[in-house]
Amino acid sequence: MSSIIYASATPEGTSALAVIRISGTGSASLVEKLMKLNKGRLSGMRRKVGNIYDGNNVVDNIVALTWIADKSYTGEEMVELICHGVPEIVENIRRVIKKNGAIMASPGEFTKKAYLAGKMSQTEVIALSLIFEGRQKQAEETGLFIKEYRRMLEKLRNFREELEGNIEFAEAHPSSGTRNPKETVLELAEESESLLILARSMEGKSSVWIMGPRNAGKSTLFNLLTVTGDALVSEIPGTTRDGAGKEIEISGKRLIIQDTAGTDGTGLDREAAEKVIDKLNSRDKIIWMSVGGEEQLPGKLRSRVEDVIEVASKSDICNMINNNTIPMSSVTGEGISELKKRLVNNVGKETASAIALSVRDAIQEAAGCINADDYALAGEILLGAEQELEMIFDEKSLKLSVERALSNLCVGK
Amino acid sequence: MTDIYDVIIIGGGHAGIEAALAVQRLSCSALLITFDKARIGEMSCNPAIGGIAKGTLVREIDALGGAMARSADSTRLQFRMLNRKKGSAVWGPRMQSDASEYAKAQQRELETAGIDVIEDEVLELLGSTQHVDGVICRNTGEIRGKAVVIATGTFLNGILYRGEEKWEGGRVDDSSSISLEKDLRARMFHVERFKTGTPPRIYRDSVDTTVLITQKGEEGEYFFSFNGGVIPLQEEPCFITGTNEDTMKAAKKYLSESPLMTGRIEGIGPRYCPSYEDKVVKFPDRPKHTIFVEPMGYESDYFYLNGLSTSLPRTAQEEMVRSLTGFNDAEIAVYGYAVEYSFFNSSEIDSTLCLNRSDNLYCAGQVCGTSGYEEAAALGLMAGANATRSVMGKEALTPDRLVSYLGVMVEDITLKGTKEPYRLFSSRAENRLHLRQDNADRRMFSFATFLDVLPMEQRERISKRIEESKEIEKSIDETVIEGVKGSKWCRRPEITADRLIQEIPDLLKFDRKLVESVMLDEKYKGYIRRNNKLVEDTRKASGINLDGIKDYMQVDEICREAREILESAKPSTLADAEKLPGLRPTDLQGLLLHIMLLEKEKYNVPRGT
Repeated sequence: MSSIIYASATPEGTSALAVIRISGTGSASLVEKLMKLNKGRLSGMRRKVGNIYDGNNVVDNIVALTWIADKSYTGEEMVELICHGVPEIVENIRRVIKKNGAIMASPGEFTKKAYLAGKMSQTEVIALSLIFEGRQKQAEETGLFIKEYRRMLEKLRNFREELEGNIEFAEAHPSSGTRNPKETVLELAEESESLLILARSMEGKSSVWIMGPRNAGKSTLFNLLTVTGDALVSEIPGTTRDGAGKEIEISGKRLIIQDTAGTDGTGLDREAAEKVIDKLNSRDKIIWMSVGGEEQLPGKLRSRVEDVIEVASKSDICNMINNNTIPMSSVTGEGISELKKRLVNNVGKETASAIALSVRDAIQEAAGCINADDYALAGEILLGAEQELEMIFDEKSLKLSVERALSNLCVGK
Repeated sequence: MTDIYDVIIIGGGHAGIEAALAVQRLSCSALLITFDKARIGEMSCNPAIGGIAKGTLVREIDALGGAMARSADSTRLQFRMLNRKKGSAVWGPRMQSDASEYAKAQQRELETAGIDVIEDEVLELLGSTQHVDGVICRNTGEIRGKAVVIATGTFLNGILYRGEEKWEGGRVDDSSSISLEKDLRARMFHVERFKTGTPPRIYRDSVDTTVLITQKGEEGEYFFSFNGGVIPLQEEPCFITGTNEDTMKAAKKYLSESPLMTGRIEGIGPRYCPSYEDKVVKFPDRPKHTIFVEPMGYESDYFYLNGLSTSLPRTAQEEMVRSLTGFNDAEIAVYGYAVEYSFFNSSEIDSTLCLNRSDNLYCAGQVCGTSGYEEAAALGLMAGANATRSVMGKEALTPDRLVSYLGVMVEDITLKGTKEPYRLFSSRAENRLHLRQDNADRRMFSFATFLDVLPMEQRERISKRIEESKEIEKSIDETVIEGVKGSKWCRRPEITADRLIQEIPDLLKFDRKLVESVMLDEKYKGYIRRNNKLVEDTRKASGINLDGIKDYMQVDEICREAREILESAKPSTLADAEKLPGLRPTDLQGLLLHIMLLEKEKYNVPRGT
C-alpha cells in the first residue's frame, strides 16, 4: 500500500498559480520521476524549476519545493508543486501523480499527519478547523483559551511541586524562599475563576428548544428549567411568537431555553415547525416532550440539531416506557435533575467550561484542605485536577474532537 | 558452624541484619559474614532513624516482624513527628538515636536469634551464577549455602575520597570488598558506580551550644514498634546552626581540590542529600543552609553536622566548620569524606530482589541502588525472606505498591531503575493517603502472612487489631452524627479522634490510636478507592497483549521513532513496551489507544476518549 498522499492545496478554479502538495516517504523520488530528473536530485530541502511529464508529453512547467521529514508541515518527506492555475492542467498533474502510485488525500489528512508527527497539538488542529469553518472569532477565543489553559496547567503543576517539596523537605531540610501554600492556593483559585469565565465566553450559547404536542407540559417545564437553573442570566423577550427565550446556566454551560407552540397532537404543526426549523442551529438541542412519551419526534428535526432529549411528561400518572426517555413530573419534580445533567453532560466533559469548572472546584477544595493543615490531601485533589486538564487537552483524549475537526479542513491543508 | 547454611548473608549493615533475622524467623539457618563484628548495625552516617516516608517504612518493617523499630525505640534520644500540620498521610516519625547503643541493640537481636556471625571477607561466590553454592572467604575458605544475599552497602569496591586523599574502604577505618566485585564483574553482572558522602564529626566540648537554637524532642509517647516499648530516660537536644558567606568562601577556595569537581569520582551522588560543595555549585547565590547539630549518642563526645556532607580537604573542612555560629573553636574528630561504591544495575534485579540470572542469589540495600538505613533494612528483610522461601521451595513474593512503601520502592528500583541513590519520598507513592504510619500493621498483614515472617504472638496481636478495626468501622458507619452517616462525617477536615469518641463513647473501649487510624481510613476512603482503580486500570493495561500488532509501522497513533523502536523490539505486552528506552508516555498511550480501538467492545471504550 502506498503511503504517499497528494491533494490540491489551493481552491478549484482558474487562478494564476495553484499548489499541489504531496506527502510521504518517496514523494521526492516520485516527483523526480515525473520531472525526469536524476535520482536524488530532489532529496533534501530543494527547489527545482522544470517540467512535469506524462510519458513524453509536457504537462506543465512547474516549480517543485521539497522538504525533508521533520522539517515539513506533515513531518514527513513532502513536495509542493507550484503549477499554473488552469483547472485542466491541475487535473492532469493530479492524474499523473495518481498514476504513479500516490493516493488522493482525504480532507484534513495533511493536518492529521502533522498532528500525528507531533508537529501540532490537538487544540491547534481544532483552532485551525474553526478558521476553515469560518468561525474566526471562536478560533481566536479557542487560541486564547488554549494559552490560558496552558498557563493554568503550568501554575497548577508548579504549585503542586511546591506543595510536594514543602511536604518532603520543609521540615527535614529547611531552606529559605519557600512561599506559603495558604496564600499561593488563593491566587490559584482566582486564576481558575477567570479561566472559567473565559471558557464560558468562548463556548457561546446554544439553544434548547422545548417541543412537543399541545398540553404535554412544555410551558411548565420551561418555567421549571428557567427558575431552577443555577443562575438566571437574562431574559430575551419576544424571540419566538409563542413565548420568550430565557438564558440559564447549568454547571457553567450557558443555554437559551426556548418555548415553542405545541403541535396538534398527531404530528408537527406545519406552521410552528417551519418557524422553529429556520432557527435551528447544529449545536442546538431539542427537548421533545409528550405525555407518557407516546409521541415520536418527526425525523427531519432530529438531523438538524446536536442532540434530542426525549421526555415523558406526567410520569406521576402514566406508566413509563422507552429506556432512553426521561420520565418527568412537574408535580413530584422527578426527572428535572436528570434532564439538567443531560443538557450539560451530553455536550460532553470535553467542553472547556465543564473542565474549567471542575478545575476551579478542585482548587477550592484543595484550598480548604490546606487551611485545615492537610497538604497531603490537597496534593491528591490538585493532582486530580491536573490530570483532568491533561486528559482533555493532551494528546490522547481529544482524539475524537480532532477527528471531527479534521473533517472540516479543506483537502491539502 | 553448620556444614551447609540455608542462607548466607554478605554484610552486617541494616540490610544484612534484617535479612538474617528474617531467615531465622522462617526457621532456617543463617550465616552473616562481616569484616568487623563490633561494627554490625553501625550508623555510618547520621544518628537518626525515620523521617517522612522513611518513618512509615520503619513501621512497615515492624509489621513484618523486623527489628529496626524496636532498636530505634529503645535507643532514642528524642522523637519528633515531622509534618504534623501537613496531613496525617505524610506524618513522618523520626527519632534521634544513640548511634552506638543502636548498633549494640541490633547486635543483641542477632545474638538472641542465635544467628551465626563470622568475621571474614567474601572473595567470590561459589558455584555457577545460575545456582550459587555458597561463598569463598579469605580465611574460612569455602562455605556452603543454599542461597546467598548480597548486602554489601557501600563496601563493594568501596573507595573513599577526601580532597586529594583516596583510599580503599567501605567507610572510614573499614575495608573494601574488592575481590567480590571483581568476581561479580567476571560473572558479567552489570554493576555501576554511585557515590555518597558524610559530614565531619565534631568534638562536642569544642562547640559553644549556648549560642545555638536548641531543638528538643516532642513530649508524648510514640513508638515505631506497634508492640510499644519503654521510652529511655536519656534525652538529648539537637541544635541548629547554619552556613554563611564565610562557609561558602571556604568551600569555593578549595573547590578545585574536590574529588567531585576534579572528576575523580565518577559515581552519581544522591540528589536529595547533596554535599555542601554540590550546593555551592548549584546555588552559588545562596550561602545560607540550615545545619542540624545532632549528638551521636547520650553524653557522646561527638556531634554530627547534618547538612554539611563534604569531601573537601581537611583544611577546607576546618575553615568551613569554624565559620558556623558556635563553632569558632570547633575541633574535628572525624573528617567528612565521600565513598564511591558499586551497585547492581536495575536490569539485574527482579521484583523479588533475586538477581535475574540466578535462582538463589539475592541482594538488598545500597547494592540495589538505594540510600538510607530504613530503605536498606526493609529490602534486607524482604530479600532474606524471599531467599529463604526459595530454599524451602516456596514462591518468592513481591509487595504491592498500592499497599506499602516497600512495594513502591521495590517496583521503582527493579522496574524503573534509578539514576541516583534512591530514597523514598511520600510523593513517590500514588496511594499515599493509604500508606500511612498509623495503619502499617494492618495493611502489611496480608503480605506478612504470605511471607510467613511473623512470630505467632505478633500475628495474633495484629489479627486482633484488624478485627477491632472492623468493629470500629462498623460502629462509625452505623452512627448518625450531626445528621449524616458517621463515615461521611469523618471526612470533615476538623474532625479529630477525640471528637469522634465524644460522639460515639462506645469507642472508648478500643485503643485510641486504632480509633484514630480507622477514622483516617474513613476520611480518605473515597480518594483511596479512586487511586486504586486508576492503578488497577493501568495494570490491566500493562498486561495487555500486543501480539495482535503485526506491523508497528502501521500504528498511526504513535510517532515514527516510536514505531521503529517498537518494530525492532516487538514487545509482547504493554508492560514490556514500557521498559523500552526512547518511548515517551504519549507513545504508550497511543499504543493503548490503538489496541483499544482495535477491540472497542472488549475495552468498553467510553465517549470522549
